[in-house]
Amino acid sequence: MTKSTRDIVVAALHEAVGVLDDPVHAHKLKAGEDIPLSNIEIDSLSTFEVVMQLEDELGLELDADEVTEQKSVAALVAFLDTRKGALEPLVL
Amino acid sequence: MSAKHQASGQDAVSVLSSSEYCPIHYRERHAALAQRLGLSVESILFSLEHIPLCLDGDSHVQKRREVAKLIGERRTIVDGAIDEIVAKNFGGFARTGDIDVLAGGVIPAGDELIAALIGVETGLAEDSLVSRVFSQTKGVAKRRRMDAELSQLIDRVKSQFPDDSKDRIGSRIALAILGRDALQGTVTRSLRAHFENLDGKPLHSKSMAPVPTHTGVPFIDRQAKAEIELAGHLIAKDEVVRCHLDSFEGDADGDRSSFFGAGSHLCLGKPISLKLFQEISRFLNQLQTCVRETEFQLRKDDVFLIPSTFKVEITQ
Repeated sequence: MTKSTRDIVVAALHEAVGVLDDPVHAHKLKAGEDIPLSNIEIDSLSTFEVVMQLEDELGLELDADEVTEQKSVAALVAFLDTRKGALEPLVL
Repeated sequence: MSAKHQASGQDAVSVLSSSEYCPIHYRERHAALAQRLGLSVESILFSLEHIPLCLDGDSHVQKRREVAKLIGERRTIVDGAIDEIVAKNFGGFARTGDIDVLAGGVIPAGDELIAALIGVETGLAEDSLVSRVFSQTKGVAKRRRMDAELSQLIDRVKSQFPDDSKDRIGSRIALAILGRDALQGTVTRSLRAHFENLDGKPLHSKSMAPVPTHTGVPFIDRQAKAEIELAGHLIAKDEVVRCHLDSFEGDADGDRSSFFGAGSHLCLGKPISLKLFQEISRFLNQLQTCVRETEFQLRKDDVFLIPSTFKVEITQ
């Protein structure tokens, strides 16, 4: 089954900073709720871990500031979906 | 990366000229990230070891001397090529039609100048990432692409100059990196300002300044080696001061030469860049045609001010 962009984002955040190890974050993310990225402690190097995971999973080229300037998980997902959409060929 | 402290005008010059500050440790940052993520960025690291702007102390003095020697040896060839490079790549401004100022003028002109300077065509794509080695925000995919481009460039230089020492190869790579986006940004931004200033009048009706009016390198960051005071503010050890070269935009011709930095890190390519700019200015100032901007978009970039798109229409 194809993973959703949200699944990929949550997995990348967990891989880099263990976001699902925090019970509050885990509850909200598993319930499909949004959380501000500022609530997740991500240092500079961890940001690049997230970027690398997202790039590898989604086949995109990303800059770190494109990720850090997103306000929340939902905003990041929406941004990535837009970028993915820009790459997909038009079906006529 | 954002800097905690900002310096403009003479404060910027004083920081850039001071031995109390050192360059940003670009190489170490790339190396730390590569180690954390298990990346191979050997060509990026090699290149940064040979860029004087990234070095301090004795290693800087030695590398700067080597790069200056290379420039000195190539200077006659470069000076002899500039007229032809400008006439060939800016000839479109003499004829009616649409011009892509970047792809159809500034980028090939810059690449030909660098080829004359380092002795080999770089073969870099229009959207090459090699000058972005100073960026702190490029993601992993772009760093991999940057490393691959630099690896190809190093191989190309080695193939052309098989007897070159490692240091000599590094000096040629350093000039290719330093000369590319900085030059493109400075020329395109200054051209745009001149075209706006002409306000639809023919190119010959108002002379283009012989010194760039705008810079493609809006700032240079420096790191304090120890606690130091700057303009009444205390800068802690290791804190970064952003020296705004763009604060000289709008100043008199002489002051704008500060676009090229100051002190021991003053841009070694300054005389060549100015000569290219003077020739572009001389060439355009004689034309009867008019220029109208049709498209302009700045590139998303944390280091350079450079357009991603710059198109104009030339009319009689």
